[in-house]
Amino acid sequence: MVLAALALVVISAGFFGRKTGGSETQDALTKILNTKRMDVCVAEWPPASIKDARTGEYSGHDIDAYKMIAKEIGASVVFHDTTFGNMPAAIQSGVCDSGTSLYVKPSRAAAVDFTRPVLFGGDSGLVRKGDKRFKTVEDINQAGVKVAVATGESGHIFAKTYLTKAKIISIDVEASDLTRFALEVSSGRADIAVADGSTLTRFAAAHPETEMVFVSEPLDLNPDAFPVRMGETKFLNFLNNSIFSLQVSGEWKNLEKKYDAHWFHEDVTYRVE
Amino acid sequence: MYEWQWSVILQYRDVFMQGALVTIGLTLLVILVGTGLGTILGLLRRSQLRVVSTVVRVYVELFRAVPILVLLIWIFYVLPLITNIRLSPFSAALVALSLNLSAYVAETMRAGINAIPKIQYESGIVLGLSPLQVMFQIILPQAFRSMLPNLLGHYITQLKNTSLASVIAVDELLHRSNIVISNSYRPLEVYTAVAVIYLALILPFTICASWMETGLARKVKQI
Amino acid sequence: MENTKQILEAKNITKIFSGTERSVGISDISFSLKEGEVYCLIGPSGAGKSTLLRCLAGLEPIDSGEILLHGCILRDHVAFVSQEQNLWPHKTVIENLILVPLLLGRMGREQAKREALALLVRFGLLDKRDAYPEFLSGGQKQRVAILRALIMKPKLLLLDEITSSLDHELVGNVRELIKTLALEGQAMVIATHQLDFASEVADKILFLDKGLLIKEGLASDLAKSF
Repeated sequence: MVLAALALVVISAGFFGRKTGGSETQDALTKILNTKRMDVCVAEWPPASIKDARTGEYSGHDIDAYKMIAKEIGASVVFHDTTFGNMPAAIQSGVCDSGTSLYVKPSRAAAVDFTRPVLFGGDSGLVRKGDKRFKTVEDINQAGVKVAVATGESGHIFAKTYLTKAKIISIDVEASDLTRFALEVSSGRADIAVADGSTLTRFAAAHPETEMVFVSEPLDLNPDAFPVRMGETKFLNFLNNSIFSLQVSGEWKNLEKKYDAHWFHEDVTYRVE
Repeated sequence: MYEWQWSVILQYRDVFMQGALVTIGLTLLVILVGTGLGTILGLLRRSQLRVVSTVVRVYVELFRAVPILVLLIWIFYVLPLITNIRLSPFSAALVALSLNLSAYVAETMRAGINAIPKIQYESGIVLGLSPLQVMFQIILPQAFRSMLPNLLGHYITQLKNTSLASVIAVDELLHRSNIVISNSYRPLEVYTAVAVIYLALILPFTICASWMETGLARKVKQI
Repeated sequence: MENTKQILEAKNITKIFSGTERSVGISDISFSLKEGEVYCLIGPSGAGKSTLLRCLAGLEPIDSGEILLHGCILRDHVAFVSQEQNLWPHKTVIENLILVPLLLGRMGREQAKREALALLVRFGLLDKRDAYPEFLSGGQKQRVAILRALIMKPKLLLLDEITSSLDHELVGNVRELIKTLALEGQAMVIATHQLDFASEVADKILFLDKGLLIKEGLASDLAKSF
């Protein structure tokens, strides 16, 4: 065991002693322009990104947006499956240049850069059918109420801040399984699940034993953006400008409509001076 | 009351089949590479050169101690950063699982060879065979027979370990199942089907193992 | 045995075992053997008989002295069979016999099979050709072990206590085999407890005790003195 520990130390020293990929290789945008190929990581999150289980084809408004952006510079997009937890690692290691939308939280922002927000998601609640107890946040924030959340995600952060009296059951969704924490409600182990409304809506549609609450007035609002490798200023600027262009031209709205997405967006008005 | 919807299993049965095929393929390749490498290491472990046997010992300790999930992520994400080696998810999984298996095979091999009485080795040498000939014709065939139940146990473990490759998006059974869940939002039905499929995949190995143990594999001709 | 060539010369062989207690295996043993001669090593347990044979077979390095083979290469022409039989359990009887000649390229598969079958027929083991060693009696295993050495046509055969581990009833066949070989002119050095057997087959008997060569003489002469 001592020998194994020594070997690990030597290998780690070699790792920390070497330059990481960025400074020795060209920047991401230059690479994309030269190779005509953009590598994008996908952590499935309908309707932003969907993978067809049969064909393996990707769809969703994030997917279509990337394709449109890449087409503008004559590049094609190669999508790579990953998980919410591993996406920063995948981007840092160069498996991909950027990713589909992730909830922007400070701990993630310490590992990757984010573009301007592409959408704002609201957290809603999922309860068992017929359960009419929860109409306000105070209704949830009671001792004895069990709240299921996905570890580290927006619902978890909301619950830790505002549901201090309730019992929080946090379930890991590292493997990209967006449903496991919602099962807590189905199975009766939790009274309410709090997470992004899009995911819960889809779960409720597939599980008639449950229903949605806090849909039209969500519990909170969270920015989601595309993650990019830290330090890739040129590529980040390029993406930001491309996203802005899609938003202003109305293309982004069309994409969301295509996939029946109902995200929140900043209310911006443009007029001629 | 939870309402089971088993139709989702039928609906996606081809997806489960494809995932199972990748699981089988990955497992077989891991067995091939891991056993081959482990055999060589097991033999080198017995080397008279102290440097060689020590290096092998370190290797065995390292790859038995490091959790496979850590190894997988390290090979897939970290290796490209410190070298220019970028492996596909499948290749990374093959490398990680093979390294892990080879360490266990090396130990099993060492113990298996040591269990063969030294007299077997001598009986070949005194008749004029070279040490290599004795090892490959006399010692290893016998050692393999006694090691087989142990090896089969390791192979079953590796089959289950292939599910870890889902974290780097290898299209094996668990990863395909996760995508089915994200399409259907019916995890309980999907996980139940996955459990049954893994059982079906492992059963041949366990039958093989008990077959080996009862010695039915031996050709016994007329006495 | 006029004008027969010497094939083995042992000169002042000493073998010391170093373990927790340094002990002498054999000390200062010298003798020589000609083609076709049969020598028996007689002595109590621990006398050094096995040690001497293992040294002659090259399985133990000697600490001093010389072992000279004339017209004879150790691994090509000298065969050693010990009391532990040690047939290869994963091979049938016939496979045990033909493995070494095939691997060493001494003969092709068909020839090897023919010679193996001929030996099995000669020594009454043909019906066991496809059996695995675990299904043989002790005596049968011992005979197969000797045949496995014989198929290589050794110039010198070293046999170490090959009847010691056998029941009395089984010893007979093995002794018959060795007597046949002796009559056919196979040079042998045989370690054995059994003086009567030694006097039947041996040209010379060497008495060992506590690692030393006590007495050496013609079997016929020594047998009279007992």
